[in-house]
Amino acid sequence: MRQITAVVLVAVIFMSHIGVTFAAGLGGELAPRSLLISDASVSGGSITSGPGSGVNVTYRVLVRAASTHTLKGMALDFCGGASSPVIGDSCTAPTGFSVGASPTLDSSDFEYRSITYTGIGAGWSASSANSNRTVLLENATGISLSDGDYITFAITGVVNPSAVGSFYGRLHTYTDENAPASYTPTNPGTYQDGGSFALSTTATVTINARVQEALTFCVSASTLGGNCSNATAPSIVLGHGGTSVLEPDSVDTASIFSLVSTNAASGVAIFFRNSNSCGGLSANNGSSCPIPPVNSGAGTPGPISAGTAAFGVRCSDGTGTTGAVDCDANYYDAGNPTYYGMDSTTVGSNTTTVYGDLIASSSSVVGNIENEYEFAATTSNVTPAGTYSANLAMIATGTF
Amino acid sequence: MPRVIVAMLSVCLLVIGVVFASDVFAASKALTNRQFYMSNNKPGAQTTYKFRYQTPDTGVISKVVFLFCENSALLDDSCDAPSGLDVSAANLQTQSGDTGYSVAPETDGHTLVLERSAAASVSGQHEYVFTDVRNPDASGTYYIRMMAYSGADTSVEPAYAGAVAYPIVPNVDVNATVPPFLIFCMGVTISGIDCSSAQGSYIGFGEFSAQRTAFGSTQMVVSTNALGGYSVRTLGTTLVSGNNQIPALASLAPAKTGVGQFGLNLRANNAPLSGADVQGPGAGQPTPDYSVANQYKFNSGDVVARSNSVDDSRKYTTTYIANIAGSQAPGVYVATISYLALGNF
Repeated sequence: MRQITAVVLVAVIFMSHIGVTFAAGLGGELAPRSLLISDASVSGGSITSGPGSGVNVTYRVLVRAASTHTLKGMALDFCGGASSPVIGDSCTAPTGFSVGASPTLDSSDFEYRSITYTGIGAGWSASSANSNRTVLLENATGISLSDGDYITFAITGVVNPSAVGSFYGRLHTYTDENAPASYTPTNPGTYQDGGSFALSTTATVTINARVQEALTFCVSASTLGGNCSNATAPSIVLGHGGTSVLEPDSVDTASIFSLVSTNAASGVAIFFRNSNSCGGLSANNGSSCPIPPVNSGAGTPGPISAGTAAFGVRCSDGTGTTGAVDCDANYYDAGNPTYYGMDSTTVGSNTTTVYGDLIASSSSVVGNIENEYEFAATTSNVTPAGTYSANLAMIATGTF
Repeated sequence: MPRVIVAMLSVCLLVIGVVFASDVFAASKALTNRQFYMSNNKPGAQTTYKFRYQTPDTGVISKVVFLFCENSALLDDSCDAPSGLDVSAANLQTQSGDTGYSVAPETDGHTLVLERSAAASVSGQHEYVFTDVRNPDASGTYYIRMMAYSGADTSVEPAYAGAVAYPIVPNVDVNATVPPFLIFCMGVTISGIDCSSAQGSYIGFGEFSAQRTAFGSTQMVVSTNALGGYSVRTLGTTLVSGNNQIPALASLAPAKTGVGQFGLNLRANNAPLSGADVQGPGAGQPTPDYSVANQYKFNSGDVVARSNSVDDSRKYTTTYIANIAGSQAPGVYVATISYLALGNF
């Protein structure tokens, strides 16, 4: 009695290592031997393609020759139902199983568990028999094998059995290229080496996860931490000196920061809208803006110079974990990075229109991206005394 | 046939299929390019909402529901109404793409329902703008579930569905203070409009003669950011020497030798050749009684220059003239004139 061997094979995602039987021919038993399949799912299920579908599966045979010979033919038979893996027993095709009418052969090398299995190379013709249950390989030239040589081949495009359970593979090698054509399971002919494989199909485990639309956005007068931590009220005062006043002899600046994360596939757009319809800083709720929008509210950035009353903002491209939130050209001029913008004139879309003006955006998902917006203002000799303000809505809109 | 003994251990094979259901509501088809705009995202603000989305095909739609939730975007989750949100009075201002909608009566505080006669959806973007809506009271992320139904029954699975998330955040307050200022200086001469260059405060008329008009000039610069502008008054007396004086010109009059006169104006004159018209980038002007060339007047307390709004620097040149009668008593005559600038803040 030959030794009884059990091999435990570990499942890996989309690549399964299949168990073993013993067999022997003129040469002996192919050992070790493995049959890897790229998908152990049953066919005919709700998943019709890709992993989990059980179709278009690759079956890779990995064996070590048990004798020195010239390999010219192979028969790889698959048996299911009440069939056994025992070579010579009758064989019934696993329900739903098919290697196809014209099996596709992959004869390239393959490395498995630190062993390089040599592909059987070119010159082989592949056909199927027994209603696409059996793969027959023939090569009149053959390849010379020594006892202990590791060889491999794969059949692609295989359809797995449609029922969960075990089925078997039986592999026979021949030194006569005409022998495979005469193969039957109960009379496999004079084969050189042989061995069987046990395989199993399983039900596909489907894991469903729900990911809802997400858009996290915050603005702060101080720099932000991840997920909007450390946010402070977004209120800033433009001015200098002990009383924080604007005067014609200087340009005063202050920054706010935004942080945004979203899974919106088409990204996020950040708009800002000035509560003052005049577009600048106002002391009368927007009726007039003695500190007007920079560059006369044009859609392009411009300089703010001391003594020429103006109010504007410049944007800095975002930095953070994932993706990019880049500034709109209205608020960042790469050639003049110290320029400011405050578009209040572009028809249809500016800081005074209903939904405001685009100041920064991304084209895809982003994670914890922080942008800085530096506001600046100065006055002229004729800027009326008073307390000025602008209320700016920073609005983030995702495109999901 | 060789004997074969088989030992087999079944191998557990695992295939993991992962399905991420971001916006897939079972059989509902996904609305794409979903966007939600606000005119103001401040907590509690009265604002305007704009919804945009695309339908994947031209299926029939008769009702669209926008359900606002603060807990989840997923259709099969319960929906907690955002506190403070109110869309019950929403006014459908504009619509494009699929049109013919009106706000349905089942609209409530957090459910905005549009209805129309059943019709095939058109391709492209659909857009709906609503006014008179109120934002939630608290900052945070909220969700809107967008559902389109082929029939009037909204208890069934929608034909199309999707969701958006939107943030409510405080507005950015930008504040600035511009301090009041009134710049005023004077001197016999001032270079340009630079007050720091002002020099002198004394004019010597020399020895009076009934045959010659004595004259001199001073300059002053004024600017202010007072909304009501400024006024400059002249204060003082005519030329006096003890109990004797040279009469001031109570009304406009030209310089006339042989007659006792003291007056001033703020213009360029040629009789005598003195003074200059107001200069500088501002808009202030001499007042009418002191703005006639070759005509002079002096009345203490009169406003001699004025601007009615904020004004950049203006330089005024004041010409003073004096004539005496032949009977003018001898003596040293002195007049002290001061100017008072007032900003009207």
